[in-house]
Formats: sequence, structure tokens, C-alpha cells
Amino acid sequence: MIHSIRFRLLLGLTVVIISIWVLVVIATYHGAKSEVRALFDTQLEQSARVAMRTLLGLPTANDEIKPESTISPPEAEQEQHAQYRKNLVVQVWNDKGELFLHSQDAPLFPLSTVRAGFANSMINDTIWRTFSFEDKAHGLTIQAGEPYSVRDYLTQHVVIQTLYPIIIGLPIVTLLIWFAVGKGLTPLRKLAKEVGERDPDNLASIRAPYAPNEVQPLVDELNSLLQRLDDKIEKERRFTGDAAHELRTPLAGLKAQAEVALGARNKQERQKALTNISTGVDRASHLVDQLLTLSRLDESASIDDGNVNLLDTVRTVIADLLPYANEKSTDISLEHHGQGQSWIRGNKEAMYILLRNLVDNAIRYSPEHSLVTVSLGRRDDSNVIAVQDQGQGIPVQDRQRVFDRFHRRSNSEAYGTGLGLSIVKRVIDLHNGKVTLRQGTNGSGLSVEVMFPSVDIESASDPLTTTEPSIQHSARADRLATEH
Amino acid sequence: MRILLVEDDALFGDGLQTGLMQHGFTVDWIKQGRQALHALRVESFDAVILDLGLPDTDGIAVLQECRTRDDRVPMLVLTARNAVDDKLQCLDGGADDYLVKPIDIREVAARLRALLRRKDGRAKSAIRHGNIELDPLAHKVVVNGRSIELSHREFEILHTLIRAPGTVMSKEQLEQTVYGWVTEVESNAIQVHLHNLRRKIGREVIRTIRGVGYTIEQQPQ
Repeated sequence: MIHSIRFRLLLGLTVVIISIWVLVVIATYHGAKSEVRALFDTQLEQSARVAMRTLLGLPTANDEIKPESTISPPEAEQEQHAQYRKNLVVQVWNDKGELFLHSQDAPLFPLSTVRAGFANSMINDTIWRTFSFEDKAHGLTIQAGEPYSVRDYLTQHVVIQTLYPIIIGLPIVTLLIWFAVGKGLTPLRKLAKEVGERDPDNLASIRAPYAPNEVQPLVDELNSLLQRLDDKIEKERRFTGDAAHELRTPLAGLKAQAEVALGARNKQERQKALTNISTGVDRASHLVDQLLTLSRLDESASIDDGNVNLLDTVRTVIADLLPYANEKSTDISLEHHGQGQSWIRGNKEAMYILLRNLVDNAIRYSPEHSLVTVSLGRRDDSNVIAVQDQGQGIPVQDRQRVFDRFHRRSNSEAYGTGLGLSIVKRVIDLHNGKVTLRQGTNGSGLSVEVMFPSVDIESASDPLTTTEPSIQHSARADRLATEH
Repeated sequence: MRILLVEDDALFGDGLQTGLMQHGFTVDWIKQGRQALHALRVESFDAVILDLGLPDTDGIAVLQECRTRDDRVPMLVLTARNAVDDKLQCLDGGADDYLVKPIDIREVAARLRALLRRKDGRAKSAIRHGNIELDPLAHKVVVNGRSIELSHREFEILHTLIRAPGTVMSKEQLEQTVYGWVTEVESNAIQVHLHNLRRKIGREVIRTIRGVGYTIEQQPQ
């Protein structure tokens, strides 16, 4: 409820309306009170004077005025405005201090000790407003008074009159706000319905011309998200298609070889086919491994798990590939230029995969009895690793394409999945690195040079001086399987 | 029958080549499109098996270039691409058949026989010529109702000549058809095979045209 725009608007508007009305009521109360005071005071004074005038006009001073006679208002007026009338009392005192004349309900003691003008006094536990004046010529003092309750009654009445429309109007206003806000939110509901009823495959942009300006940014963001999602899915779809295609070929080969083995005309032919099947299965598993590695690397947006010592990683890679190199009678040499360790920020496993692919390629595409040189050095603020072989090299026009997935170079006798350099590229991208393909230094072979921003290990361990963006752990080291 | 196999995958190419040879075909295997185009220009094949995903050029380009220069050799596209669009593009572009990997080699063999039958305009795979009947599927030859034993090479020579009666085949053409590029051929190998063949099916069937080659004469209609 508290998260509903409708409820919040309703609550807010109602509170504002009620507050305004309360202020209006308070202002009305005070205004009415002051007006009522002025009006009643004037009336009180006039009543007193009229009473005196009436008194003096009727009997003469010599007339015997019967003390404690009462003045009664006419019958008709008694009924009308009774609540005002009966409360007004008048007393007339003579110079001897005797109550000379009083109205019907007047008390028999002086209304006020004040002998002239307005005053408040306490009579029978209620506050009264009194007006007194002396007629020195006749030796009479007249006092008129009425309880405040009359005035309060009128003030309250006026205030209550102003309250009526509020009490009746508030529910109506509330209801109107409820419906108006509901109507205002219709585009949102329509949008929600449209998104909700969408086919999961439909990633086309949402068209919502009815969306108000306030909702348009949301629609725009949704569309941008849909676009990114569409791109990602399309990319994955293409990759899956390519992968299926690539897997079909070794499978077709395995099947063909199996048929050859079954239909073999001699033992030698069967033996050859079976050997082919065995190596074919190895290659297919290698392809699957490479595909898995690539898809895991694809999942991650960036790898920044910690610091990687390139020298250590290169050493591990070379040690792991030595048996393969020995098989091909290939020597691997490691040259380390510069001082100290070569630290970069990144993921150790991914870096291992990258270097292993590079060195593996170098051995694979080199003729037998050749030399693969791995050199590690520093250029400006970067660590540079170069892997150089003595193979055929790659012509300049082909160098960009070799990073494409499933791209296999023509003429290459060696078996490859066409994924190795794609994996290399992906790891480099994830580490903000750079890769350059060159001709080998002595004019033959290929030199693959990768560069990564280096980190000073002392400052890198201090979080305050680490300028790298926050670490995203989408690719966990333990999920990154090594190849082979 | 001599087949040109254009396939870049080593494992599959080797398997298909050996497998088809087990079925009696002579198979020459090339891994690249340009080499295939060159081979098709300078030599003659009875059919081509073409992979689409070649490293240097797309198989469809090979197909189109062949048809552009009016090479009518039957082409069987054998690829991992199984999209309908690819099939349409190939078949409308001049391919005679389309198979998706993985395949059964026996099926490829049968389809190749079908392509050749169609090319020769025959209703059945078995070929009858006078008193000789040759069945390429069963690898059998019957002369005058009597089954005779022929070696693989002898069978292939007879098959090549009997398929196109009246056509004169040179010794080199017969060599290519029977041996392909696979084996080193003795210079007189074809003559030796022809000698043995004539001994088995009768001297008068295959005629030697001096300085040109060999032929089986067309039957009078």
C-alpha cells in the first residue's frame, strides 16, 4: 500500500487539503470571535443605555419606583433567539447602593465591581461580560451583562457552519482524487500489460506513444535493455550454430572412419582407421574444451580477481608444454628482460589459458627441430610478452582474421580448432591488453606480442592507491578450466 | 569411376576417400577450392564431392565457377551446413545433390552411382552392351550368361569404356580413371590390364585405335 503511487498521492493530497481546511477553520474561528466580540459588546452597551433611557423616560424621580421590579421582554422575542435573549441581564442601582431595578434573570448582587465601561467578571462560576455606566444626574448606575457562553455559542456555530462543507466534501474529494490518479496511471498499467503479455522471443522495442513524459525514460531504458539482450542472444545463437557446425565435422570424420574400419579390406586398413578414430576423438574433445573455455570467458564482463605474476605463469606454461615440445623436438627458451617481477591485474587461470594457447600454437605451427622463444619485458607502463616461432608466419592480410572464431588458415597442415586465437583475444580484451602479430625478428615465423598494463605490487596491495575500477567476479577462477 | 573429393577436414576426408575406395571408386582428394578448380580444368572426373566450408574459397564459389565455364561434371555437395537456404543456393546454383554431415558412406556411394546413371541417361545401374552385362553395384560382369571374374582395375577399365560406347579413351585417361593420383603406375599397366580383360570377355569387344586410344563401339540401333 505504501509503495502505491495512487495511495501516496491520495494520502498526500488529503493531508494537504485537511491542513488547509484546518487553517481556514482556525482563521474563521478567530475572525468570528473578534467580530462577535465587537458586535456583542456594542449590543451590550446599547442595551444598557436603552434600558437607562427607558427607565428615565417612564417614571419621574419622585415616582415611587418599586424596588426589585423586573423588566420583561415581549413574549414574541422571548421565543426567537432565546439563546441570546435570556442571557442578557440588566441591573439598575441607586446612589444608596440598592438594587433599584433589574431584569428577570439578573442576580441580586452587582454584576461587576467596575462602575464604568466593559469588564469581565465571574458570576456563579461562569465568565460574564459586563458594561456599566453611571448617570450622575439621577444618581443611578446601570449594569448590563451576559455570559460569554452566548458569544462562544455563536462563534462555534459559525465555525461549525464552515466545517460542514469540509466534512461532506472530503470523502467526495478523496474519491475524485482516487479516480483521477487511477486514470492518470492508466498508461503505466497499459505498459505493464504490454510487457507482461510479451512473447519471450519478442525482443523488439516497446512502442508506447501513450506513455507520458514521466514514463518515457523507463520505456527508453527498457528498450535499450532489450536491444542489448537481443544482441547478446544473437551472438550466442551464432556461436551455438558455429559450434554445432564445427562439432559436426569431426563427428562426420569419426563416423566415416568407423565405416572404413568396418568395411576394411585388410588388417592394415582397419588399424589405420582405428588409429584415426582415436586421434579424432582427442581432437573432438579438444574442440569441446576450447568451446567451453570460450563460452566461460564470454560470460564474464571483466576479470580482475587480483594480481598475476606473468613470469610465474609463463614458467608454468612452459613446464606444462615441455612434453609436447619434446615430441616435436622443439626447444623453448625463456628470456626475461628487466628487473623484478612482472605483475599485472587479472585472473591467473585466464592468463594461463592465454599463454598456453600462444605457446601451444607456436609449437604446433613450427617445423620439427625448431626454437620457440618466449620473452618477457617491459615497455613504458606495460608488461610485454612475445612468443616467437619459426613456422610459416601469417601474411599481413590474414592477420586480422585469425582472431575470428573458427577461422582456420588455409595451407596449414597442423590441426587446429580455429578457436585458440579467439580465446587469446578474449582474455586480452578482458584484461584491457593489446595484441600485435609480427613477422619474426629474423624475418621468418610469427611473433605474437601481448601487452598488459603493469602494476606495482607494493602500491597494488594498498587499496587507496589502486586506480582500477571495481572488481567484477563474473568469471570465477575455479570455473575456468584449463585446456587439454 | 573417378571421383574428385574436395574436403578440408583431414579426418573426414581420409575416411571418405578410403570408404569410397572400398566401394570400388577411384577417389582423388583435394583440400582446397582453387586446387580443385585447377584439377577440374586439366583432368576429367566422373563426379565431384564438394565441401562448402573450404579454407581458401567457399565451395559455392567453386560450384559457380565450374558451371560458368560449362563444366557439367555431376556435383554432390557434402557439408555440415544444413540450412535450407544453403541447400537452395547450392541446388539452384548447379549442384546435383546435397548431403549433410555426418553421412553414411554407403549412401554417398549410392548417390554417386545415381548421379552417374543420370548422367549416362540410363534407367538402371547395370549396363548391358551386346552380350556383356556389367553391374557396378555388385561389381559383377556376365558375358553370354556366364559370370566372369575380373580384377578391380580390369572392372574399372571395362566400366569406363562400356559407360560411353563410341567414345575413345586415351591410355592416360584410362590411367587417371583407374588409378587416380594415389598410386605410382607402371607405364604398361593399362596394356597389361587390357590384355587380361580381352582374354576374359573376348578380343573383339574393345577396339584399339592406333595413336589415339581405346573404345567399345556403339551398338547398331
